[in-house]
Amino acid sequence: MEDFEQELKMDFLEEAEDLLSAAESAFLRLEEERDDSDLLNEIFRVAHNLKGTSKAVGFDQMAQLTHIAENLILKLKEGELEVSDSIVSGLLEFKDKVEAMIAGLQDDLNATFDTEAVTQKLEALTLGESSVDEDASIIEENGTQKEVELSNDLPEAECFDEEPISSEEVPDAAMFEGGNNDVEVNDAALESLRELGFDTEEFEAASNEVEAKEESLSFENIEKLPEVKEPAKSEEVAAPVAKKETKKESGQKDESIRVNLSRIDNINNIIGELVILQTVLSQRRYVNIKDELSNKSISMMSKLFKEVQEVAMSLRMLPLKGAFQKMNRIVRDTSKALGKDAKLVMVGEETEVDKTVLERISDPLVHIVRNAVDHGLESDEERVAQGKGKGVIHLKAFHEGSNLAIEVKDNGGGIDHEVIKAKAIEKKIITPSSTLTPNEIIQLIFHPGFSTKEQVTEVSGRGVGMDVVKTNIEALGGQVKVDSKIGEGSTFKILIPLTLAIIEGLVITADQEKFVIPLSQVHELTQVHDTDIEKFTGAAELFKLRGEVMPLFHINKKLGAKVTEKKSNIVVVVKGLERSFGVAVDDVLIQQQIVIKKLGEDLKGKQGIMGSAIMSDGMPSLIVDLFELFKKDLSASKAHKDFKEAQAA
Amino acid sequence: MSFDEDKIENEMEKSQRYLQFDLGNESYAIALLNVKEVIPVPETTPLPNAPTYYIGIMNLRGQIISIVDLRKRLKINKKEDAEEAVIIVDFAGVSIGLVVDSINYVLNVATSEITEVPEIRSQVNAQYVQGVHRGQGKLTIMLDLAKALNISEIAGLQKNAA
Repeated sequence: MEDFEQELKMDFLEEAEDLLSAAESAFLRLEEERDDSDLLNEIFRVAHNLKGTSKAVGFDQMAQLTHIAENLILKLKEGELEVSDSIVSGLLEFKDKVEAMIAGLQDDLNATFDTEAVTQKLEALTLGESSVDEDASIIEENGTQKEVELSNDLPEAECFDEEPISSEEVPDAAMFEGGNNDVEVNDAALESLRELGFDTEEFEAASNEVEAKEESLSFENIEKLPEVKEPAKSEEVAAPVAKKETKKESGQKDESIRVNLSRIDNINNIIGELVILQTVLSQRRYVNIKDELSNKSISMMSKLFKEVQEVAMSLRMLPLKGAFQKMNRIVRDTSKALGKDAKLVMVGEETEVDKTVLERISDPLVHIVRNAVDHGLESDEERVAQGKGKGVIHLKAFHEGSNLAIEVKDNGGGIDHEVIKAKAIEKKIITPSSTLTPNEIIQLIFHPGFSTKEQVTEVSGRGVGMDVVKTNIEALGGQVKVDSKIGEGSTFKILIPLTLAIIEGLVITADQEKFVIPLSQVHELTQVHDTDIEKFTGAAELFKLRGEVMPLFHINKKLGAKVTEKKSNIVVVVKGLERSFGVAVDDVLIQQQIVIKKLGEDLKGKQGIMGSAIMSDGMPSLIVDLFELFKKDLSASKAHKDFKEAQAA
Repeated sequence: MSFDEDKIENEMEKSQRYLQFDLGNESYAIALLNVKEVIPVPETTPLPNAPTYYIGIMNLRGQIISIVDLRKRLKINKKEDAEEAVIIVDFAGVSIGLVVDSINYVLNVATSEITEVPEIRSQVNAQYVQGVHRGQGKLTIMLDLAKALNISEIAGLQKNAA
């Protein structure tokens, strides 16, 4: 029976994770749409659900905490309390706590947690205590947090402390409360409207009306205000559309079922196999198969199989939405911690990407978005001085060929390449005499150990820099670039292959066996004749390619072939991070798309082999990672080179 | 738990089913629970720097599976006119194909019928032997596959080789 109970608990935790991410986005939306009763109902339902199930499976602590949160939400729903900044923060804090609890419980089902601080805060909020009191309670709470919860992420906790209590500092949030703040926002909005050639009189009238009815804000006005606001954003035409879509979705829930990933992989396997059999049949059409109907059926089948394969592949694809919504929170917390007024505009959150890619894109994205708010945007004072409006981070995703493209654009000060250059020279990354273009210089921010901001802030610049972002993205087979205009802002563009399951590969032979080299590792193919090769005893062979000397390795020898005699002069040139090298192969057959198959547990960790592929004849071949395969040889040849240089000196 | 389930469980404990096959001139058996399927010897792709008993990888309906020659692994001389076959076994999520000489039948053996200590001489190292079963006029060696295959060793060998 214990097993059953444990399974039930684990199932609940998984479900709770989903509920929480739904809750987070709802809380954040609440900040913008304070009177949305549908939204409040939705939040209430989530909280209620969480409370009920956590109680049922025996997580009493979580049930208690959720109960308190539910009380607060109920008051909001009934209109006894009004949504305020501190309430949203409280709810977000509650969500963080429950999230931490879930993570803790997943490790140890009997874990207990310190929920005092959050409980107190939520209770205070439920009683509708004034913001002054709340401020005091935060300080107190911070004290206890530091003592009791060592695991708590401190910078995040500080985000809440620095949160402005008066709503004046957050005009956007105050939008719907009426009053002066509205007009302020609208002025800025109207200005940009004028620039865009809109007739603004109507909107002005609308905002004046709001001012007049400061006290009791009628529903109609709420309807009108977003209208005023949305055209203001028309620089990004798609933005309001995206917003509307989210609204619609909260109304009707997407029906879905939870399917184990291994089942999907399984069906993909089987379909892949069917397609191979199908190819065999297709090749025999009219040659070995004479029957007209059979031939027709085979060609019909190939079409259907192609379709089925596409559908099966798409099962692994998920919308970016989850990862994007996390950014809402990042921008909110970061900007508040820094006292900057920033907002996030998202486009294309429905763009789909492979689940594995989705999981691994989140961290680099968080880093870039945080950086955009911290380093990208100027301080509010500076912006005002320059006559710039509110800081805006644009997050945009779209498909570009077989890649997923994500752009993070800020309207901040941009990157000064002169500053970067000076810094790079100071850090000995480049020499003063280097002749890099301004654009190339800007890319240097991805160089390891590069951080221009003198002062290390809590928000970003914690030792890990953009180089980590770059490494992470490259590990996904992607690339990242930055484009910047001084005074106008910077754009980070990430390009990532839509799926990790398919790569572009070069099929080569070594000792009669086929091997696949990922095309991303192949810089060029060249012919190297014996006369071009220099041999050193005990060291790698060297050859010269357009003046550059690089070591030459033989894939035959490396892969333990019996026959080592050379069959061709073909050399695959690989450009490494530090140096390039050549790999002699027997023959190059074809360049094609390769579906990567995982190797079994028994073969995991085999150096230099990153997976296998099933070739068109149905036989498996190994995919080799040349960097890994020749890692030792490379370091040996480097050591040799260093030794030679030292000797010469 | 109901009475019936108890009964079934007891019966399961009492007798187990084994797949009986030949390696050279001796007869062996492995628990049928681990057997996924039996296939004819497939075409394989050899793996670089692999030990001699490691034949290569095959494509089993989209799944890549390692094929090991169980005779070479256990250092048994193969039968002259052997009708070879491959048993696909599943161990804690790892599927491996074993090349054996002829596969004979499924054996229903009561636990009590298995002698713990083998008093016979076999070509197989004693540590791979789980027990011995006498029946149908011959001795069958119950193979401890987990030990005989030593999955981690296979993987380890290849790591060193690479």
